[in-house]
Amino acid sequence: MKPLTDAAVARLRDAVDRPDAGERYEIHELLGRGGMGAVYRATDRVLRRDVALKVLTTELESGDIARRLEREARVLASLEHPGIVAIHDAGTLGDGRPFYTMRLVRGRRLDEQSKREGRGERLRRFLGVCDAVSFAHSAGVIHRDLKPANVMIGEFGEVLVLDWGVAKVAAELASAGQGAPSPAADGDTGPGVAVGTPGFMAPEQSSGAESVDGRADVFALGAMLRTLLGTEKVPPPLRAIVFRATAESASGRYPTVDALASDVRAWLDGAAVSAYAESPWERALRFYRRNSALVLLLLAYLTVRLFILWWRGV
Amino acid sequence: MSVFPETRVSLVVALSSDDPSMRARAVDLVVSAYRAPVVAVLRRQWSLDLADAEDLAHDFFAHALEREWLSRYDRTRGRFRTFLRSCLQDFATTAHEAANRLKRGGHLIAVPLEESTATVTEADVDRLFEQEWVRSVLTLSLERLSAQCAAAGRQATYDVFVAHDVEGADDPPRYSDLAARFGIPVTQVANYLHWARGRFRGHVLDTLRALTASDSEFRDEARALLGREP
Repeated sequence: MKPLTDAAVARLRDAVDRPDAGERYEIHELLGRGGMGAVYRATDRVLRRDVALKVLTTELESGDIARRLEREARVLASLEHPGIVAIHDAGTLGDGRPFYTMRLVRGRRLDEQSKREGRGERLRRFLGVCDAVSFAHSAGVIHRDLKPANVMIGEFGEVLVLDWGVAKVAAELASAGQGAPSPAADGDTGPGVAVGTPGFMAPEQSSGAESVDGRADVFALGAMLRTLLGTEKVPPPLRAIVFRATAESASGRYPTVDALASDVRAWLDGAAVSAYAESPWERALRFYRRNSALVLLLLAYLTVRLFILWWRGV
Repeated sequence: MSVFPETRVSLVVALSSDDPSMRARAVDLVVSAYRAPVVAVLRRQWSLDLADAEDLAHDFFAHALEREWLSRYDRTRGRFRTFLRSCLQDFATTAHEAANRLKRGGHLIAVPLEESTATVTEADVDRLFEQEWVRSVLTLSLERLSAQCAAAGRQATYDVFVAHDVEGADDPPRYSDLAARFGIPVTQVANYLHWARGRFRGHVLDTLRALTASDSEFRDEARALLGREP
């Protein structure tokens, strides 16, 4: 046999890797690849629309990873929110690999998008992420891998939180319809196993502690906020928000994502931020900025009154 | 004798088997899969021409078998591929030193082993080794698909697959052109490709299974071969 050319090697690798999606889905280009598997653009021939199809790299992956993909599909199905990508279908491909299809998000990753936007717009996007994560928490789901690369900004400007593969799920959700609580409730990660991304992982998560709760996501959101603010001069109240959200101890952080979002929203509105103790001068300056028209009107009134008094005195 | 196992077993583990026939099959497979990567590394890192690199690769495998290097592989200490690459580095370095000693003594040497003067980093050599290993695994799998098609009377299936995914890799022919060339309906071209790709995938995974010593190594190697960035 003649040696395979580089082009033949690339084509054969693609032939081996490309999922056999049967009659329903036509597979197109590879969109990305993560620890669990690959995501392809695919056309759903029945509904005649493009979807994103996520599939394991090989059908012989360990049961843990296969279960994690199936769990991710269940988690997504349970979270109906405009900030969480919608799942359409799940099952097993002809070659034995589990897969699911979801809405194909056309847009940019948050970290790419944020380079093109001002601070205010970035903070409003961040609030969109908080909104989706807060909803997930209320449904008993902790994401555990929040980072700018896992957030997409859709073509209509919508914020979408992706990659729920290592989410920690309340036992009743994970075991729904399965009779008994499943080990999958913890994202198939037992005690002592750290999941997440360094730099965005809370200390208790890095150490693989069992007691990870929503405050681990608060930490990740704080780290994400720090990334979004970049190297520019950050106002002290925003710095304080980041500092509190990323406190070493979970008890030192905001207790909920809503509390964190509320502080960011307050800063955007020119209101007081709970994480920051203002000096009287800063409070006065903030009051002026928030009510500049009123202050200027008052100053003008006082000036006129003083002038009249002076005129009468003369 | 086929170098392929009948079932999904690790022939790397069989390198230390007490059964001589099992051991011979394992050696055959390792040599088949790694000969080309070894030759490529010897050529790139040590600036050998093809004939000298092939001679030295032959010596390397003979030496490895004689000294029972391969049977000393400990699966708990990393991938077999990394272990073999490390053995090769030791062997080539020793050969290089021996060549220098002979040179100083004024003797002629059969293989003028000199480190490449071009800037070749270790990462470059590792990348080359992996690239040629992928090529070897795919070639072995293609040979197995060829044998399977021949045994099943599906030569046309194999020919269509090769025409589309191997020979036509740069610019794949249209299904209608292949249909005309092989005298079959266009739908049959799609069916043949679907069948062959599925079997080929199975052969690649079987080959990887045979070339690795544990489930986790197998998964790592499968990811290395399949898990490319877009």
